[in-house]
Amino acid sequence: MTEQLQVLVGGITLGCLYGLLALGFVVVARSTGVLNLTQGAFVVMGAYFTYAASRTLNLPFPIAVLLAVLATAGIAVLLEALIVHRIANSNLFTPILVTFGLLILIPPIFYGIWGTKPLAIADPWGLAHFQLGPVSVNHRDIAVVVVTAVLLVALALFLRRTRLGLAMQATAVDAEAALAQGISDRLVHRLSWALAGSFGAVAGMFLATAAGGGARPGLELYALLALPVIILGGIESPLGAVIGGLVMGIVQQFAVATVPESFGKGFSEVVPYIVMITILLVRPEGLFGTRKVRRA
Amino acid sequence: MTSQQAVSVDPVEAPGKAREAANPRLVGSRSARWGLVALLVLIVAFPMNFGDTYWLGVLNATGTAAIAAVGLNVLTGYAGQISLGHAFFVSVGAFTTQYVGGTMGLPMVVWLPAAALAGGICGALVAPFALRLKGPYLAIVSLGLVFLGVFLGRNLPSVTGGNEGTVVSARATLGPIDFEQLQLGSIYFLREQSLFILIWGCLALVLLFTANVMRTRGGRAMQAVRDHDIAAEVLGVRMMRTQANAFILSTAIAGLAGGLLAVNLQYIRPDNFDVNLSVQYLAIIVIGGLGSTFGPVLGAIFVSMVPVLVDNFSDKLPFMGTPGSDGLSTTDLNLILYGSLIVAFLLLESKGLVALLGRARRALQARRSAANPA
Repeated sequence: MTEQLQVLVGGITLGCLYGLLALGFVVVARSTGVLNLTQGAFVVMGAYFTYAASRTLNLPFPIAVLLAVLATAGIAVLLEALIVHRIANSNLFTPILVTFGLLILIPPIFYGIWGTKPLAIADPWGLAHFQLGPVSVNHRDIAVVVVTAVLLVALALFLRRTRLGLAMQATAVDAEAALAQGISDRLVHRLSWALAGSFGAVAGMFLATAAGGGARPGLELYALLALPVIILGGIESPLGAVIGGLVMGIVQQFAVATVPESFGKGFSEVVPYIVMITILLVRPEGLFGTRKVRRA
Repeated sequence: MTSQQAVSVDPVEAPGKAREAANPRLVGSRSARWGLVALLVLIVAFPMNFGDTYWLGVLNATGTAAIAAVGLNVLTGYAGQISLGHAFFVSVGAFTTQYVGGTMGLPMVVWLPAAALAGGICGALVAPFALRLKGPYLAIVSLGLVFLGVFLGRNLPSVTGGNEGTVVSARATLGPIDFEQLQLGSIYFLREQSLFILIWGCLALVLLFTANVMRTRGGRAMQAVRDHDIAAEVLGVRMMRTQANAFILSTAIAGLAGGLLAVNLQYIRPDNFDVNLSVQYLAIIVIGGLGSTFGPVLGAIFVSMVPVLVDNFSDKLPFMGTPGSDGLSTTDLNLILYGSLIVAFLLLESKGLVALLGRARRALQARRSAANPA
């Protein structure tokens, strides 16, 4: 029982990270209709900028994270404005290919600058943990869960209560009608990329603080592992992203803990994709997605 | 999101296309026929007069990449379905080759079709899932296929040699002809020279085949679905079947490419066939020109030159790392260049090198006709 609870805690933490990564995809897909694979690069930026701010500039950790998030969001906006906006509405796969091109070209630049060895990013929680009954919970786990919850609530409030948020919703529903109402699609697209960059950067910072982690090559692949999550949760639902992430994280952690060796090496890494294929067979629009009605 | 036309047919070529479609011959025109003969002669004559094994090795790798890219071009360029999973089908062909040709010891007339068949069967198995999906969803699922493929490859050591991979012992022999030690009268070819003839010969056949398939009813149906799926359906194109055909043709060509790749490399590992390889194929068809006959070949030559140039010039670049110290590795520089090229071509010349060459040729012709108005 204790063991299972321990696995559950690990699953919830991993799930929240997946949720954060998926939120980045969802925010952009909702308002611009682009599957933004560059999300993986934002994760790398978040991790390395946090390292640079906290270790090289010796700033306090929260300020370092804030700077990293702002820098990543800024670069995200630049990428959208200079490159992606021009082809966002061209056809189905040009945006995917362009953002994929950005995904493979950006992370190596960071590895070239900071080297390929893992870099510890001076996180405040380290390996500290407390006992919750028989289960030990890392401080980092708490931070991940709290930050994800806060960001999700903030995003929901922003989308529902603010003028800009409503503008984003309107663009998501019908871009042309929104334009006719005087909503700038440029502003909305750039804002969604800024949000995606922020979510990616926060996720990257947390990924780099895991035990045995650090800012290191390969972080961009975590975003690709979160792709099945958005199929699970529906590509346009923020709540679905987080719940889908939680489901995926918990399933994956239990798979790691319980699946016998005979399933082969690296089985846990493909679990998200196996879950995804099952979901696609049963409910292609995801748990919280809406079935699209196409009219030409 | 609406699916507008992905790659429009060049209006200048449209009447020619219609004529070609009505014309059931294997090779469209007399000039094309002579071009084909010249190409075949060149494929044999070039390696006879060129013995640099390094460059022949590069060209052979280019040829296998071009064949695989032709397959991806069928799916993405002609049928408008994006796939990030092409490397998976290439790996199926590669490991099938080693199993049928190496472990079972059967000759090339068996293993080469078997590789294509295995790729096609895997495509047929995946197609029903994939065809329920559009755009981003298909990209995600096909990406998952690569991860699953590498996982399976690592855990089926009896076929793939597991993590360490396997030496390819399949022999490229066709009856008395050994494509690893060709002999023409008293001329003996090197291994690279012989494989060049095999690989580029196969590439020529695959190009001829796909170009012709795209002129048939089925091939034109694929392009109609790409340009506007609902309009195509209204006109009586069966969408599911058309897309499934494109998928199977594409993956069968990938399997064939995998077989040749295995024989050319002589040693294959599951990790060879990861996301990066899929990226390379996508880069090839985007840079070469989506939905064009020779785009994949031009793209493959262009893309294969990137790592060669990087290898040869990286020690002259100040920001490159040396082994053991920090700095940019050659693999990373390759990735940066691939990524930049994909982005640049899609932004600036979305029809690729083929369109670039076509424009250059038209500009040249215009200048020539201006020079002698007679």
